[in-house]
Amino acid sequence: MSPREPGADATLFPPGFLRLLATVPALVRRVRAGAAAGVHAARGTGGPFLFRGHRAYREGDDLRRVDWGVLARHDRVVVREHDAERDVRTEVWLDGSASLAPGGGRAAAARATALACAVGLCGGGRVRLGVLRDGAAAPRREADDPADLAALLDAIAAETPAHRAGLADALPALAARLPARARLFLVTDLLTDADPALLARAAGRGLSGAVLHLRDPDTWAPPPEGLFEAVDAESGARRVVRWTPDRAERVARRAAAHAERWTHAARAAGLAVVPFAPSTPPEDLLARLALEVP
Amino acid sequence: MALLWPFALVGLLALPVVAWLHRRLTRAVPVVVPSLRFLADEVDADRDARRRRVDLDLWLALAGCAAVACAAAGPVWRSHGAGRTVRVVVDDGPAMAARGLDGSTAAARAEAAVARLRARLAPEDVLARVAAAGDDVVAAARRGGAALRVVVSDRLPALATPGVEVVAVGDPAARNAGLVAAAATVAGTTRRVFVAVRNDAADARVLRVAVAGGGAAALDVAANGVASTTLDAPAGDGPIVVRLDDPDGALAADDEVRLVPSVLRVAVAGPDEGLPAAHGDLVRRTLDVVAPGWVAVAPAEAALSVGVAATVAPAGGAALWLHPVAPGATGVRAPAGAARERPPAPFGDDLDVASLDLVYARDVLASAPWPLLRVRTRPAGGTAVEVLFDPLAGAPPPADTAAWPILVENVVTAVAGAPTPGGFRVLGLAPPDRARLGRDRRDLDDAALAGAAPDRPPVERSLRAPLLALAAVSWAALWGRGGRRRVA
Repeated sequence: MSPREPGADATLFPPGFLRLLATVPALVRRVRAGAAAGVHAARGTGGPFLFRGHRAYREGDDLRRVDWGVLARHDRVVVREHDAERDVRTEVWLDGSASLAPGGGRAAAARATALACAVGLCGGGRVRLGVLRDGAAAPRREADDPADLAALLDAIAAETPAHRAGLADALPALAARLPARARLFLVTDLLTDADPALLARAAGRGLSGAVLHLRDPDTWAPPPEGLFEAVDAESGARRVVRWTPDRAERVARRAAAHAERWTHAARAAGLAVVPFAPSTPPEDLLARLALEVP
Repeated sequence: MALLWPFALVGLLALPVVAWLHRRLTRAVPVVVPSLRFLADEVDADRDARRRRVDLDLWLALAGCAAVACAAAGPVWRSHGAGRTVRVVVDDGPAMAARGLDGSTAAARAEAAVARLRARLAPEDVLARVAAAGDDVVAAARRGGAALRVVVSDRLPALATPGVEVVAVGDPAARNAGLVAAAATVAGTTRRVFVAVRNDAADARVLRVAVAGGGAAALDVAANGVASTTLDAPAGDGPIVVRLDDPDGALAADDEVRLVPSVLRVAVAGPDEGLPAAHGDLVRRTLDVVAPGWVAVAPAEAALSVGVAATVAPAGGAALWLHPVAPGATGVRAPAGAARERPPAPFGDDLDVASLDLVYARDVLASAPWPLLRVRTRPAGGTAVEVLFDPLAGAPPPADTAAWPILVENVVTAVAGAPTPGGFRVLGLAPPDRARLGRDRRDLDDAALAGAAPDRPPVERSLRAPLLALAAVSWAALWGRGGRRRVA
C-alpha cells in the first residue's frame, strides 16, 4: 500500500499521518492473528481456514503467505488466501455537512475517514466511500486494492463540508444501500435533530462497524469566559452569548446527553461508538478501530 | 463653581471615543461553531449579554477621563463669594436710653436698625459690630477695613462724615429735663446746694426741684434752656440728695444726683492680703493726685477697696482689683500694635490705650483683643473694677504713663463721684453733651449699601487635586481589573 501520491492533500493528510496509514495492514493483521478465525468469515462449507486460492503478491503482503513452491516452479510471486480472510464489504460514509468544518473538525473527520478506509482495505476487503449531505447518501468511490487508498484520500480531500447533512433522510437512504453483514464506518458529528432510532432500524441486518463520533469541543467549549457571538456553521444563525462556567457546564451536559442517546441507538444496531476530537492522536484512533471495532 | 480654563472641557469629547473603543474591544467576537443546538435553551443569553455591555471597566475608564478633562479645566469651588465687611458702630451713650412716647428706647430702635441692615446683607457679607459713644462713634467707624461704615445713633453728626453712613434712630417728639450741675457749700452748720436744670424740649416748662429733707423750688425753664437755683440742704455730714420732678422725661437717670463729702475713704490691701507693697504704694500715690485728701480706713468703712481679686469689699462699696504679675514669674505681653479692647465707658474716657505696653499675669488668660478692664457687679452689691494688666510691668510700665492716673481717676469718679468745688463729690450727674437727646431720624441709604464694593476676595478652593486623585484611583482600579479582563 503506498498512499504517498502527488495528489494527497498535505493539509488534511500530513506525512506523519501517511506513514501511519502505511502501518495499518500490519497492525490489523497482528490484531486478527490473535483472534483465531475472526468474526468476518464468510458462510460456506469449507470452514474458516479453507484455502481459497492464490492471488498476485501486492506490496505489503505478509511474506509468510507467499507460496514459495509456485515461485520456484513458475517464477511467479503469489500469496495464498483462505476463507477466513475473504474480503469484507466496508462502507465508509462521511458526514458532509458544514458543521464538521469549524475548529479543525474537517481535518479530523477526513483523517478518521481515511483510517476507516485503510482498515477496510486490509486483507483484500472492498471499501465504498460515500458522503451524507442534504438528506442524501451519495457514494463517491469504491476500491478493493490497497493501492487505491490514494484515490480514496483524494476523494476524501475533495469533500468540502457544506450545507446540512439531513440525517433524518440520509440515514434511511444509507440503510437502503447497505448490504447485509456489511461493515459500516459512519464518520459524523451527530449534530442533528434526527431521531437516533433511525440507526436502530438497521438492527438485525448483521451490520458491524462503528460510528466515529466527532465531538468538536467548540460546540460546548468556546473561549474560557466572556462575550462571543456564536455563528452556526450550517445555518449562519447568530447568537450573542456571555459565556460563563455555569453556562458551559449546562451546555456540556446537554451535549453529553445527546451523545448518549445516539450511542445507545448505535449499539442497538450492532455498531460501536468511537468518539474522537480534533485533538485525538490518529494513532489512538487507529488502535481503537483495530481493537474495538468488529 | 467656576472654571479657570473652560476650553479644556473639550477633553470631554474623549468620553464617546473611550466608550466606542471599549465597545469595540469588548464586543462579542464572532465564533463559528458547529451548531447552536446546545445553546438553544439558554433563553436569556442575548439579553444578559446586551445588559452587561456597559460594565464597570467602562465606567472606570470614563470616570478617569472625565476627571482629567475637568481637572484640566481648572475647576474651583467658591465656598464664599466676594463679600463686603459692613462695620456698624452703635452709639451706647446715656442718651440712647431715652424712652420715646411709644415706650421704645433709642437703643431698642438701634437694635432694630441693625437687624434690618443684617437682613439686607448677602450671605457672603459680614457685619462687624462695634460700640462707641459720643464723639468716638465716627472715629470708631473709620477704624479697620470695611466696605461700608455705618453709625447708628440717635442723632446726626454736626459735621459731614464722608465715607460713613449715619442711621439716626432718635425720637423727634422726645422731651426730657435733667440736672446738669450740682454743687454744695458749707457755711458753719448751714449747707446749701446749687443746682442747674436743663429743659431738653421744644417748649418752656416749669420744673420742680427739691432737696431731700431741705428746700424746694419751681423753675421756669425756656425751651432748650437752663435754669438754676440754690436750695437749702439738711445739716449734718450725710449725703445730699437732689431730685428733679420730670415724670414724663425720656431719661430717668438724670433726675437725681447725690452729693457726698469729698473725703474718699479707701482701704488698700497689704502684702499679707496678696497685694504687693509696690502696687499698694502705687495706688496710694495715685490717689494723692486724683483724690486729694483721701483717707485710709478699714475695709468695713471704705467707699473704695483696693486689692487683688480675693479682696473683700463691704456691701454696697466699690472695689478696685489688680492682677499683679507674681514676683519672679513671667507675664504675657501684648504684642506691640496688636488690637486693644476699648474699656467700657466711663472708665475708658480720655484713655489712649494704643501705646501702652501691657503685661498680664498668666492667670488672667488674656488674649487679643487685649483687654484693660473688666467691670462686674458683685453679688454683695456694688461694682468691682478689675485692672487686668499689671501697672508696674512693661517698658515703660503703664504706671509711668498718663493713662494710669486717668484710669484711676475714671474709676474713682465712677464709683465715688466727680469732685466739685465745694468739697463734695457728685454722683449721677451725666455730662450735658451725653445726656442731651438726639431727635434725628434717617434710614440707611440703599444706594450706599448697594454700591459698596466687596472688600474681601472670594474664598476659592481648587478641585484639581481631588479630580486627579479620582482619575488615578479609577485607572488604578481599571489596571487592577486588567488581569480579569474578558476575552471577548
